[in-house]
Amino acid sequence: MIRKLFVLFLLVIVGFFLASVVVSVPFGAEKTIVGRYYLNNTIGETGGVNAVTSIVVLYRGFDTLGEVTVLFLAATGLAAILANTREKRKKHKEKPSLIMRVGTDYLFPAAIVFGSYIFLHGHLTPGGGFPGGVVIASGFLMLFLAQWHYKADELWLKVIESLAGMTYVLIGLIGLWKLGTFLGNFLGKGTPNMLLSAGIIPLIYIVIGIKVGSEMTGLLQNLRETTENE
Amino acid sequence: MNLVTLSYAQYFGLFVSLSVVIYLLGKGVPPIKSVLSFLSLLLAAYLFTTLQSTGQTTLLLLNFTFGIDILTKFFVWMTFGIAIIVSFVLVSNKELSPTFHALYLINVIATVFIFLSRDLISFFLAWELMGWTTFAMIISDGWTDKLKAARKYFVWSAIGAYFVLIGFAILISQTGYYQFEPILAHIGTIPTGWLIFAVALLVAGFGVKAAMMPLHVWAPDAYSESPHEFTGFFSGVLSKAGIYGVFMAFFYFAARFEAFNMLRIHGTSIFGYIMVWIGAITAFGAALIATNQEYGKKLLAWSSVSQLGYIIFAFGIADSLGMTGALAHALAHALFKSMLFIIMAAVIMRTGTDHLPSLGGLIKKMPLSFIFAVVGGLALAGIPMTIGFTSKWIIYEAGIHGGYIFTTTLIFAASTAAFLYYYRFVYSVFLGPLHEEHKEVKEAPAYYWISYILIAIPIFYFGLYPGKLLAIISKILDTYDLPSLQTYTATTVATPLGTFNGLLIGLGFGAALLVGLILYLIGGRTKKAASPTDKYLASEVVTNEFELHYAMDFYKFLERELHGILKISAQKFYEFFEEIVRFTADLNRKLFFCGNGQAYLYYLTIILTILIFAIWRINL
Amino acid sequence: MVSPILLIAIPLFMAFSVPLWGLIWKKLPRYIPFATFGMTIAVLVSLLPQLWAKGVISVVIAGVKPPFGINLVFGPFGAFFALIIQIVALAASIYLFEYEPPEPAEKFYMLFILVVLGATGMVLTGDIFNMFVFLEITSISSYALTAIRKDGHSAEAGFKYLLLGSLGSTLFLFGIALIYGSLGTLNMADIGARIGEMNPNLLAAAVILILIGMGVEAEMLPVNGWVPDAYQAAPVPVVSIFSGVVAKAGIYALARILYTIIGLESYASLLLIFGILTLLAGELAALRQKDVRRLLAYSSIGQMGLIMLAFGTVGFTAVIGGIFHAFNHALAKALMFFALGIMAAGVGKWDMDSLEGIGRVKPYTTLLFTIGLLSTLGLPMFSGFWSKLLIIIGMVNAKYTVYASLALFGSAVEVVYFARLLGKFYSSKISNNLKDAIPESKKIFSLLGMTFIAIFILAVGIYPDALVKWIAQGAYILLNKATYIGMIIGGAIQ
Repeated sequence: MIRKLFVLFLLVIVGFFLASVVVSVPFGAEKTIVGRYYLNNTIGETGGVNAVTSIVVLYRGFDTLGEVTVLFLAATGLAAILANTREKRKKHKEKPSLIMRVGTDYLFPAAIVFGSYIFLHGHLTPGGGFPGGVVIASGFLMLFLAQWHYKADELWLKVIESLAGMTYVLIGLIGLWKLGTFLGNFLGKGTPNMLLSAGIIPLIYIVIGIKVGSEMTGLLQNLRETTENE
Repeated sequence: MNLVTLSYAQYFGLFVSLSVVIYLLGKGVPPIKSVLSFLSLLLAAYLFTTLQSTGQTTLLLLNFTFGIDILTKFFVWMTFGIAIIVSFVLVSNKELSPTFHALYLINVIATVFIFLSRDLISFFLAWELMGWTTFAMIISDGWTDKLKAARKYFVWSAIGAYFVLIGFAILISQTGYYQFEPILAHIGTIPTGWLIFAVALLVAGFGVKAAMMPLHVWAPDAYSESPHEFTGFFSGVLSKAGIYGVFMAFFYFAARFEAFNMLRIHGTSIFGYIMVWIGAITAFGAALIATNQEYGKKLLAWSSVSQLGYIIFAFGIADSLGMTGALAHALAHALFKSMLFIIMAAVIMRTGTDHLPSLGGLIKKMPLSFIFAVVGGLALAGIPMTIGFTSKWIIYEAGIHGGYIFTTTLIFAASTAAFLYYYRFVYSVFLGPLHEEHKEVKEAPAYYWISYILIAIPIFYFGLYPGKLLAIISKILDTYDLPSLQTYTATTVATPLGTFNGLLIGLGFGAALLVGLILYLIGGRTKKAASPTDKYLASEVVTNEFELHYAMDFYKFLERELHGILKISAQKFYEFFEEIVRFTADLNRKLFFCGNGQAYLYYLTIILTILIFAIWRINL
Repeated sequence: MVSPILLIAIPLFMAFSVPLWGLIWKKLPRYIPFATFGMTIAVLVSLLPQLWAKGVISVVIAGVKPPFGINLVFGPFGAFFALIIQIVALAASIYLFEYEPPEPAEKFYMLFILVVLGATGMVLTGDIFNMFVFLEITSISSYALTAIRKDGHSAEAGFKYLLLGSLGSTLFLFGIALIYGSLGTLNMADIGARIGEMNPNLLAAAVILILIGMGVEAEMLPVNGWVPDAYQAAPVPVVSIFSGVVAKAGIYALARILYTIIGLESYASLLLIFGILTLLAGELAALRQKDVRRLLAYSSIGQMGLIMLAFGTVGFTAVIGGIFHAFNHALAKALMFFALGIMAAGVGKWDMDSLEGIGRVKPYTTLLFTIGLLSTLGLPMFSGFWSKLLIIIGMVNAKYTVYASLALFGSAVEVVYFARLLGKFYSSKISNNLKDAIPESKKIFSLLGMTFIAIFILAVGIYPDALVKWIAQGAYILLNKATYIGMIIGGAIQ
């Protein structure tokens, strides 16, 4: 008890200090040199009208590649740790209703299409590969919830995931080959506001969308199977 | 004209690669290893004569400097001499692994490089190299009971090396140089406090290797547990590297520094005074302990500690007599101690034990070994006509002349004790009745007695012609601008308190011994040998627990009288310290690596808070 | 065209592709790490002439110049750490040839490649947020690799690591956020140039958060509780990666941030205090340890403490020593763990008493272990001697004599337990567990790889010059913030 109080006390001190310090951070001020540069130059340099997307995919595209890897790692790591622990499957007491089963059958393609739309239009409208991928995975989640016997083919998931990841790196390498910089925008900028514009941004978003979608699906499938054997 | 001229680096590299060759060939063709290592040492000694007097090698952006002067030669030839003789003896030993022989070569070369190096970095490199190869040699046999001794040696030698390292680092940081010459030139710029600190660290660090009390605890164990033939080199020469280190630290650097010399009370350097005391106590204490040893190698090991105390004592006096005596005794000890250890090795080889009560009567089986044991003993006890007399005489005179009444008394007493333990050694091993199981024992092989003779030659030569030795030593001291003895001829040494003619007393003493021998041969033989169960029973209560053997409890009466002194043990202090470290270690492990995730987060919070307070204060 | 970016792109591509190789031949993934790191080492070596010619190779990504885009800095300091990482990784991947991986094997190899990739990214990046991303890659794969064996112990160890590691990265991110919030830039050189504009209190908070956050990976004292458990639980090749790759990337990041970004000596000397505490805690904890893996883990903590001390000294000699020691420790620890893995194979127990007399049963492997051990102890003829010597002399030069003495006390403790370990290994009394052990391992590739490391340790121990010249350049760049900033911002952009 005393120990807990002591920790609490310490945390208050730490919190107070951090708060007192954070107050002096000029958040939201126009001071950010980098931010101003991005806002002023996005369309001219990248051809993408969605500045956020341009930042994510081009200016800081390397971070995005890293984040994709982190997500990949999370899925892989989870699968690695949970592997071989999912033998028993518990009998469910109550079956989902017919409405749910039929409803999800119809909703699933819609979710896939919507997800694809999000990542295809990432350079034009808010959204992008990550949300798009998650929407696709949510389509699979519906299937997992409503149709117990549904199981995504792990081999295909694996292959798609691999190919998508490799394509992302390859796109970067083509940039290196053509322009001398990794992830360089080797396609034309095109006309802003058109679907086929902003160079490699849509390409990368497609790859990310597919990759995130398949990873999240695999992740959910893993979790679902392991929680069931409790 | 020399056939080859090697640079120092090539010289070093050649023998390191040769040791690899010995290791590899020794694996394939076992008998070749010892012959090869003997030949390599001969080659090393020859090539040493071809080395230029100075040399440099650039390594690690550092300029390693080497040089040879008369002091170097003195120590290097001592090293090579004993090393070659020991390696010659080792030829007869088939049991040692090729690893041992390979390491032995590196060990000798490292020791030589200690004396050759003229900069702190290469000195330290050679010093450490010598330390760990010795450790590896001790454990290369892998006898479980040796490991403890080896470990103790290794740890102590590391501690010594770390003292030395910090001392060196202070010298380097204070002067900005790491070669001897420029450090010497800038020694005046070092603040006195730093210099004293550095020299104290260096003397302590080298003192470990020189078995200076209270840093000696590793020595008896390591000496007695190392491979038997090798112990001669280990105790005779490797300890001299420590003596050399003390010499360099103290006389090469510190003594040239005026502020350092001003630390005097009644004209005596404080540092020197401390060393005199440490030396005297080491000499006396170790000699007392030696008298109470039941194992031959342990006895000789403690005797080594005691003899090294003499050298430290004489260094502390630091006048012409003291310096001369110290260097003379360094050589004397190397000679007679390696001889005694080789004899011990011969005895162990033939009988399989060095437990004194289990030995006895070997005079009939190993007469040559006995004779040379007597020679070694004469030198150890400082009897005229041996080198031991020369060195001890000068040391005594130095003590008396310097007015160190009490410590000199201790040194005298140590000498008496030396006689006692030496007597115990030679009596238990060679005299008295022969044990049943030793009926078939043969004399040591020719390798051994050839080496006895080789060592005995300088023992007698420098005993009968002390001037020849003093000529070398005086030259050394002159080179280093230290007070040297000038009043000697080939046979006579004139000191402030008296003059002695080594040849004359030597011959006189020899004649007396001869007369004694003749008398013994005529009349002594009629005496009947005592029965194995006889015991000197004066004031001893005989109980059934003890075997009634004369070598049991040889100096029981002494042990009883000195009980109080012997109980004061540095060992116990270190064990106490070890206990504290162990306790701290456990506490630390239980605290920081308790395996409780929650606790780790707790520490994280605490450290965050501490840091916040620390930094807040800086910035607010 | 060869570019430092390949050091990251190749492993990433290969890691993604591992499942596909598995489809071709089930055993193929086993050789993918070797192929990967063989390529990265080739790339690294082929970049060296360019590095010597230019002094630093700065590569921008997506054609956007820093500070607006992300850049990779292949300078002497980062490149040297990249080399350490690649060498250890290559050695570990050779070891993987004959190592029975924990299931699922494919995922194991992927994680293995990615942890090295993350560390390489950390030492090459010139952008602080990018460093965080790579830190995440490194640490998440490390958690998974710790727990991959799926017994209770590794799960526990993995969880502890996860707990401290994720907290650490959060703190680190918070620190970055504070810096970005007040300066509006993420490029390390740019931040370094503008650091004076920061509110000192804010900077202090950022430094604390970054120090503690990165300290988790660098095995710094109060946040290194995961180390012994993880070293004990993780598979052998992974452990060598922990000590040779992850910890080295952590210490690199600390040095880079404290020297180049913050650049205030008062903060760098924080490392001095943490370093000495880490060193003493690690060495003392190892003193009475029976399990050899835990013992080596504690010794690794101690060595990391020594490296921190060297960086905390802020002196040229000591920093050279620190970088050099990072190299030596990485190689020696990796060698020791590989050898230990082979020595303990078939025994199943890892405590000293079970392995007593192993030197008589498997002499060659034990010899290799001993070479690593002696190098760690810093004995002459082994590479560890030079680095320890340089660190101690550098520390005394900078008037930190007390710290140097304490460090040597730690070293003396190290001598005690390592001597005991060697004594056990070379004892002529052979433990019952070894009675029916195979005399010498038939793992040819592993032994060959280990022999190369051992020869390398000895070669560097006898002739350290070539390496030290490189290290000295790295130390120079590290200590001269202005030079680094000038090289990145002022030009030399490819």
